[in-house]
Amino acid sequence: MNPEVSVVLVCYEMNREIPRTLRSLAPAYQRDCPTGRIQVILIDNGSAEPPRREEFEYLGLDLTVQSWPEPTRSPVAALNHGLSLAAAPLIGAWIDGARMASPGLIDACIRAARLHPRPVVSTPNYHLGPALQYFSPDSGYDQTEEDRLLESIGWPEDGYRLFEISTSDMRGGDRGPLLESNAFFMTREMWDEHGGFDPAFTGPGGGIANPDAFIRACELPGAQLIRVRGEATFHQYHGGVSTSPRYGAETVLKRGGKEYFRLRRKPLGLVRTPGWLFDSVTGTVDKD
Amino acid sequence: MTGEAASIEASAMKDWIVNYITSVLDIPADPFPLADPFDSYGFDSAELVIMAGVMEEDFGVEIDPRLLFETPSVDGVVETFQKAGLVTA
Repeated sequence: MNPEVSVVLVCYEMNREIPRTLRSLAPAYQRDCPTGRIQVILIDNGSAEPPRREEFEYLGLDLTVQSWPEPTRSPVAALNHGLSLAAAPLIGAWIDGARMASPGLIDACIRAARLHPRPVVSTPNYHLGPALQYFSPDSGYDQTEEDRLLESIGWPEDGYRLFEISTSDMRGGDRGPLLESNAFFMTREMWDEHGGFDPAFTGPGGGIANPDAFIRACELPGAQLIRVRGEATFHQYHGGVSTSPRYGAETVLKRGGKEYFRLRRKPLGLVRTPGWLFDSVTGTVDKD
Repeated sequence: MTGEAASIEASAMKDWIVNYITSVLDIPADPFPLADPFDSYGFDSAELVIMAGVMEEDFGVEIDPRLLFETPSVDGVVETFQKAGLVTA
């Protein structure tokens, strides 16, 4: 069975988070995604103990795991390498591998992508926990509390219950302005045209590389932004650069804005295109 | 804010901010709602922080973005910067 979609993930020191991320992409969890429909490519970016493919055989995933040989503080090169390995006609990029998927995410993205020959499929971003993770540590949120929350909903029993214990990072609702999508999908042809993530973004965590990639995707000639409603990715707390306590996150964004301005000679602006709204439950698309 | 302050006139800073915002949002520069909160016309908190970074790049000073949240309007920010000595009357 040739995969319909490739999902490319990067990880760094995520031994706690990656098993959950991969489980959320597994056939037993993702709706209408039997083994082989999804190709998952995990690139480790310099972890002391990188993940090994054999550790996840029990998930029944079509899984490739590689270690990027020249890791730096930016995941961009590792992510671009992962994109080069993708075999499916539709490819999703997750610069942060610590993101669990809702159970219908992949099928929804496949269905949404079929709506247009040049789709940019964006999915909503959530953080596990009672507040965004650059705020919640101030109130004591940590990995132990996160583990407790996941246990409280019996995860992975019903993956949609992740919405109950998470906080949306989206501004202004389903069609509000977007800084980025932490799991966005395009066709192979569009990724080739797009060029992937810009290696000029060398800051920790890639800085503003993901927003830049998303903006450029939406700016491709003839691209159609299609926002998925009803599914999401959920960030696990792991001390990553952009979800560190509030001042850290603002510093990252401010530095990112500077870096972007130096490279692009224009301000980093949010994507305000309303796009189409694809409802994963009803299968309907709102184009207005 | 920290660092060596540049000699920036309040009117120049005001014009800079308006130019910045109207380059990001599709709203007219004239008349511009100088006293209205940034979010009233859709300029959100993330963009405020991003703007602080570009300010640093253009003016060569370090700006704590949290200051922009204290008085989140064009007039408010210019007044805050005046009180902090970054901007001259």
